[in-house]
Amino acid sequence: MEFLRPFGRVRKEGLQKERVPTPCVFVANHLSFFDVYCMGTLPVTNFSIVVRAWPFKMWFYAPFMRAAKYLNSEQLDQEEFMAQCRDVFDRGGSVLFFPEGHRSRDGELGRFYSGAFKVALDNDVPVVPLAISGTDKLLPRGQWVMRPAEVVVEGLEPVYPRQFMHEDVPHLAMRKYVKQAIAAARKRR
Amino acid sequence: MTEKEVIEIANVALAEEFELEMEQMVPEARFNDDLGLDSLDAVDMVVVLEQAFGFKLRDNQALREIRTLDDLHKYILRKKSELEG
Repeated sequence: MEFLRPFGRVRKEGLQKERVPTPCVFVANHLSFFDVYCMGTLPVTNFSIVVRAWPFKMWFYAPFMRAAKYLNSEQLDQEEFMAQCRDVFDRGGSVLFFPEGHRSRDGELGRFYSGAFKVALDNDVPVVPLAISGTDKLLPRGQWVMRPAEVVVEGLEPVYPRQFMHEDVPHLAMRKYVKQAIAAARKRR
Repeated sequence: MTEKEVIEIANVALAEEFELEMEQMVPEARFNDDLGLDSLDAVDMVVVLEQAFGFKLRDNQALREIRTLDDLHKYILRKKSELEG
């Protein structure tokens, strides 16, 4: 995160260690390439990031991603993917998702895929929503020069699976709830 | 319920649940390539449609062969006529 310092401040809110239950599923909105670096603000270091297949094709990143046990959501079938997440939790780690699957094109929240919430419910671990703002201003789409921006990573109240067990499709209900929480937090900015 | 109503109910339910635009809901739309729905969404889609129509749609073999929205509409209409049969 140090290399972002000349371009602005990265502020974290609500991310004190005692406020973040572990293991958990972190769920963050996705605005920019820099969002991954902002995960350095989390109060834990033992977590695996879920990414699509293409970043594993970047030769300069791939070895680090494998060493850090990133999970490839496109290469594994659903059962294998769930097993790998379970393995991370069994070892005391957490899993981080960007449930939009790609960066926002207009700064607005996109559709959330359900995987993160299914993982949380199947493993009975809480979701910790993360509302990121400002990273899209650092390097706007189509620009090559970084600009100053204030970046905020806000950890929201953990959301527990038990809150949704009475719903017809618990992971869909949880997905909607978490998305609303992130949208509301971003609106306050 | 007419064929048109079945298609309308299915499209509205899917657009609402998966945050799709109604303009995307054309018969030739492919679930994966055009609507961006993944394999987990496919499972959720069945649940959402069962709630919308009030009858079971689970038939793994038939569901695996569904590629487009039109395939899905035809499948629902077939299931509906079997039930009414």
